[in-house]
Formats: sequence, structure tokens, C-alpha cells
Amino acid sequence: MSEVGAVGAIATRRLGRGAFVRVAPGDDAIDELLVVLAPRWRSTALLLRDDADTRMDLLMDLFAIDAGADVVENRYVINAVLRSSSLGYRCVLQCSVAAHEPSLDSLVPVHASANWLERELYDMHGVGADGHPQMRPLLLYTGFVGHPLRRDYRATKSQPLVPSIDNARVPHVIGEDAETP
Amino acid sequence: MRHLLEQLPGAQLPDTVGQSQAPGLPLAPPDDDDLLRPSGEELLLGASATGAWSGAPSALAKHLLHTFGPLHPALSWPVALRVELDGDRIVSADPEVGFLHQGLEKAGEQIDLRELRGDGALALIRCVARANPLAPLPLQLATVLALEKHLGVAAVPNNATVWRTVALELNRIRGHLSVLIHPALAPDRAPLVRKLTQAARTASGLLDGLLLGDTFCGVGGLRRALDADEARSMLATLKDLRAAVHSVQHDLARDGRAHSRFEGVGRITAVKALAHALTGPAVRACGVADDLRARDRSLSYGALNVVPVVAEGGCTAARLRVLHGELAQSLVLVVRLLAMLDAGPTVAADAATQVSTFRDAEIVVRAQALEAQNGETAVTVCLKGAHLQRVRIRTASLAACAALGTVVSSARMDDAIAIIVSLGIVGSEVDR
Repeated sequence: MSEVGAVGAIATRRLGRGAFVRVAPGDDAIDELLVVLAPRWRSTALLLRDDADTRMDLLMDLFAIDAGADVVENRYVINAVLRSSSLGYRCVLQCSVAAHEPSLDSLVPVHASANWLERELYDMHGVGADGHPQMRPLLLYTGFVGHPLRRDYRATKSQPLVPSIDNARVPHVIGEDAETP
Repeated sequence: MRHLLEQLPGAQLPDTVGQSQAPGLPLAPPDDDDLLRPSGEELLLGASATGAWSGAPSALAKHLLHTFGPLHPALSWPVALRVELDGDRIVSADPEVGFLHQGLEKAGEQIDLRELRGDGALALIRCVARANPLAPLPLQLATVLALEKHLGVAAVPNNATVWRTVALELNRIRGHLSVLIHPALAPDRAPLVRKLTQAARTASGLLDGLLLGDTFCGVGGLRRALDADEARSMLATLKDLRAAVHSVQHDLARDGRAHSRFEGVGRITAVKALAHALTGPAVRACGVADDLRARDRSLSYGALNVVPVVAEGGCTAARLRVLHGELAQSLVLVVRLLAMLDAGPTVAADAATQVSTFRDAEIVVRAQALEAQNGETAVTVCLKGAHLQRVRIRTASLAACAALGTVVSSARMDDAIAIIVSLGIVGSEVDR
């Protein structure tokens, strides 16, 4: 599996061409970019992990790119950076979610490392992971209002570091909208 | 028992009279197991939204729940470890981080990159490097290389690439030595500790000298020129450093029981290590030959044919063996790299001919991953035109911290610090 495009070819053959929006070569750091539809998010990650020709056994990173508050469809571009520890191959599995329904299937059943990454993803962007075993704040505290890495969250905005008693009782609900700046 | 309860923060005696279903009848003595359960942790069991403790409460009846941290004198960063203890054995552990979140990714997105080759780039590189103030080099280099991809820099001077690789290896030497001299892991013989400490000081001196003046924050080349004299003086110092490290490793090998107290401590299997995306010495100690340097395409490792140092066992002792092996390997690599320097330039060539324009309406993503001293460090820079849309910092510490619960399970409580340090976790990389 030395030529660029091998992962995409395998995944397309197994899952069908309709599962992918785009398959493209990457750069020096990323060998390949696979853009999938949301319903195929977990199944593609599972295929890439278990297939003998791909063996993407490491989920190195999971992060979102916010296209901006003016984008409704495909506002959050979720990137899962996968790598094969044995083949050294690296690819990015990408999926977009809409602003009004920011959630994806959890990758925890496929990669244990997704646990903290998905908690961070929800903390910072408010993109939930359906089926996550322990969705609770990781880097922020319970009661923190909004999601700091959204484009509409002001960088100069301040919140109390120690939440008030009232705030502490507010449950951390998946799907709550970012506060208006 | 009452004396013990007074020592336990949050522990309360049950109010047997108030809770009695039949007041007036003789009271049954409280169960010892109930007395050992601090009331605060009982509340935690029911608070699934704020801090769920997985596991059936009935199974915890014989175990003590205790919170370790967030501040511990042996760690330079805050982490709270909620542990479930059976005697002095850890049954399960739940790490909690986020006490000093720096918001570096948000801060990076506020930087104006319109003058990418000027202060804008330097500000971004400095911002990202704050994720690990003690070892900023891997983050600096990853950011620089990602920016070079955005800029379409055609060719970086060969000497600049070699010096970047030298600095990365010196950073590995310093990082490994700082772990090996940590009081929780240091050899039990004072002369060896003194030698290792002196070696760590020497390595720090070498690296700090190179880092002066933001040498490695230059895009397209080094920011400050490094000449042949620098390489010659470094070679002389490296000779002493290699002698000191070799002497210590020879003594430890002759001793035969140097790290025996850590055998089997904090063990993790290769399958679990890969599932948790552990990288660096932590995964190589599980027998997995995973090292980004072996497949490097951005630095000078391609000419060196780096063979990953691997150990079996997956325990703290195996991690220490990997650190010692890589220490010796990196000292050799630095000497070989210095021999690759030629008379060419090290600083960036004229920028105007290399810089592409940023007029893309689409978001362009460029990333760079490097093998840092504690594992894979990656920086992703997303640009929309000349505006920074997203800066993502991936460090090995977050994955190691997430795996901590698995690694410390079944270890003794007094080995927890040694395990945490051996994983190479840096708190500021987690709370970046």
C-alpha cells in the first residue's frame, strides 16, 4: 500500500462509491483525505481499522473546523486523523454536520482514544457524539456557558472561573446552542 | 476507626439514630465498610452529569474512594485522580484535567497572519509553543513546517533542515534525562543520580543555546544563522555528555536490578496502548515499533535510517529501558547529523519568490506531525484566505493522560507518581 489512493480505493470498494463525498490525496503529513457522509462515519472508521490492507489502528486526533456562524449546512467539519502503526500510512476521515444538528456517531466503540477527544469536541464546539459512554466536560467546568472554539464565541468574553452555585446546577445538556456574542 | 475517619476528608459517620426505621429499639452497630466510604464520593456516584463514577455502587462497598490531587508536590501540573482503592491497590482510576486551561487554540485563531513571514507567523509559533514551555521545540517546528506547506516554500536550505533535526534530537535527550532523574524514577544510588543530573544540565545548556533568538521559529529556514563553530563546540560537549551517559548506563547494566522495582508496575498491553493512541516511548515499551522518525519526510531522518528502540513488557521498567536506549541512540544521531552540515546557508532565502498568495475562498488545511520526546506532536493550521480559521494542537500528553486510568489500574497507590512521570505527561500540553 505505497501509492496514494489505496485507502480510498479499498474503502470505496467495500462501502460503495455513494458513501463518500470526496476522496483526495493529501500532502506530506496526510496521505489521503476521505470525506464521508454522516451515516457512514463510524462504519468507515471501523472498516479502516479492521481491513487487513489499511489497518488504521490509531485515532490520533479528532477536531472540528467551524466554517462560521453564517454557514448553516456543513458548518462544522469534523476531522478524524487516523494512522496505521504498522504501515505508517495516515489519512483524514472528514465529515460535515449542520449547525442545527451538531452531532455524529461516537467513535468510542471503534477507538478508545475517541473518548476524551469527543468530550473535548463537545466542550469546544458543541458537537455531540451519539452513544458516547461518559459525555461530561473535560477541559471546561460544568456550568460553563457556550463553546469557546465556535467562531461566534468572542475571544474576549470572560466567565467566572469558579461557577456560581446556580450555574453549577445547570446540567450540561448535549445540543445546547452557543451563547450569542 | 473513628481516628481513621477523622483523617479522611469528607468522611462522615452514619447517623444511625436519625436513619433508624424503628426509633427506640437497640441500635445495630454500623458496618465497617460503610464507615470507610466518604460521603462526598457517594454523592459523586449519583451525579452522572457532573462526574460519573462508573461501576455498580454495591461493588464499591469494600473499596475506599479517594481523590488524589489536583495538586501534588511531585508533579508540576494539576491533575485530579479519583481512585478506587482495595487496600493499597488501585482498582480503577478516573483522571480529571482542565484546571489550568490556557485556551491557546482560541488565542492562535486571533492572530493576524496577513504578514505571514513577519510578526504574524512568529506570534502564532510562540502561541502554539506555550503548550509546553519547558520543551517548546517540537511545537515550534511542527507549526513552522505546517506554515511552510501553506506558503508553498519550495526548498528549505539543507543546513536548516539538519539543524532542526539536531535540535529535535537534543530536545529528546533533555526530555528523557529529565524523566530519568525525576525522584520517583531515579536510580537508588546517589552517584548515578548526580551523573544523570549533570548530563541533563549539559543537554539543557546545549539546547538552550540553540533556541536563543527564536532560532527555529523561522519560516523557510532558520531565523538566526548557525555556523560551523557552533557545530564544533557542540561536538566537544557531546563527547563529555556521551561519556557520562554511557558510564551511568554501564553501571546500571552491571547492577542488573536497576529498574527491577518497576517491573510489572503500570503495565499496559500493546492492544490497549494502540486503542488509546499512545505514541512515543509508551507504545514502544509495549513492543510496537512505531516511530515517526523511521518514515520522516520533512526533516533529515531519511538519511539516518532510524530503527525504533523497542522493549517488551509495557510496564514502567520497559518504558525506562526504552528511554535509556533512545538516549544512547539520539547521542549518536546528533553526531551523525552534525557531520552532514556543509558550507551552505541556514537562514531563509528571499521570501518574495517563494510565497504564494492567499486568495483561496475555501478552507485550506495543512498539518505536520513530529516525533517529540514523549510521542507524536502535531499542529494543524487551517487558513481561509489569509485568516486563521483553526489552529489545532495535538500532543502525546492528552492521549497518555486519557489512558492513565487503564495504566494505573492494579498498581499500588505509591507507584502512581512513577507511572505518571514515566508516561511523559506534561500538564500544560493537556490543558493547552
